[in-house]
Amino acid sequence: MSEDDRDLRDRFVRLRRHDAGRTPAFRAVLERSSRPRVPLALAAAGLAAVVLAALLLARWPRTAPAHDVALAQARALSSWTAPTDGLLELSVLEIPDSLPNLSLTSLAIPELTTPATTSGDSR
Amino acid sequence: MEAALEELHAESFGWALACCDRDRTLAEDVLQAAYVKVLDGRAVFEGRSSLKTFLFGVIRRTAMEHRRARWLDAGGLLRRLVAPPSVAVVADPELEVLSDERSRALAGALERLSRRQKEVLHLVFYQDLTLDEAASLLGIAPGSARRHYDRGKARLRRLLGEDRRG
Repeated sequence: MSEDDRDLRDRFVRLRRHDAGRTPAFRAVLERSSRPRVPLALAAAGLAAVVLAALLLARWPRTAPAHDVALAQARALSSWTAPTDGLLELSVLEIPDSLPNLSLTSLAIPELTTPATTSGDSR
Repeated sequence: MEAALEELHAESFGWALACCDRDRTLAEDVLQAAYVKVLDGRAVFEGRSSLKTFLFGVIRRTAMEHRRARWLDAGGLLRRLVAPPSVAVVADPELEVLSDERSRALAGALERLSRRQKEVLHLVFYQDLTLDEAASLLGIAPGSARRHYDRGKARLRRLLGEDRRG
């Protein structure tokens, strides 16, 4: 065994002595009640339930709308007009109610003469 | 069986402390659970190894289960989120009570080794097991145990040397 090994062994022996002095009694260990732990799944389920409850509470209507408020809302809705309604008004542009009379007096249309067909067979 | 367990109690507690990163409360929980497993027949000693090796194997497996359970424990998770674990080993309360400076340095340095290295060194130097017995207990090949032993020892010496210089 080298000098280093002896040093290590000596340190381990000291550590063992220290631990031996603080070893709990066998019976105490056998009969001890271990600390209860909260499983992660249970904690996650609890957290999910809390978040769900908070969401439900946030979306829940706090008070029913008052009668006056409902009436005012109805009036506002009935007087509402679309912003594009103005486009449908034709104040400048008038649509004529009859067809324009087009007299073609200045325009002479030559008569069309159809070439006379020669009688007989060319053959 | 209970008398045999009681006879090995001090050594078992030392091993439980090593498996639980010297967390005394966890070590006591682990030791109790291991004893109950042996006594109610969930862990059966078939005589293929010494009772000590068998019991140490049960303690080691139980410690792994407890560490996993503790990691998943909501309280532990919350504590890790709020305050991430510190690298400083001196924060370990079990180390604080080590009156002997050399033992404190050793316990602090051991916590900085890999789990396998720590286990092999503990079994050989603290529990006086042979390397073959340690390998069988840890379920690894003797050659692998030798590697962990050599590397662990070299690292431990370096750490203790730094400690002496510091």
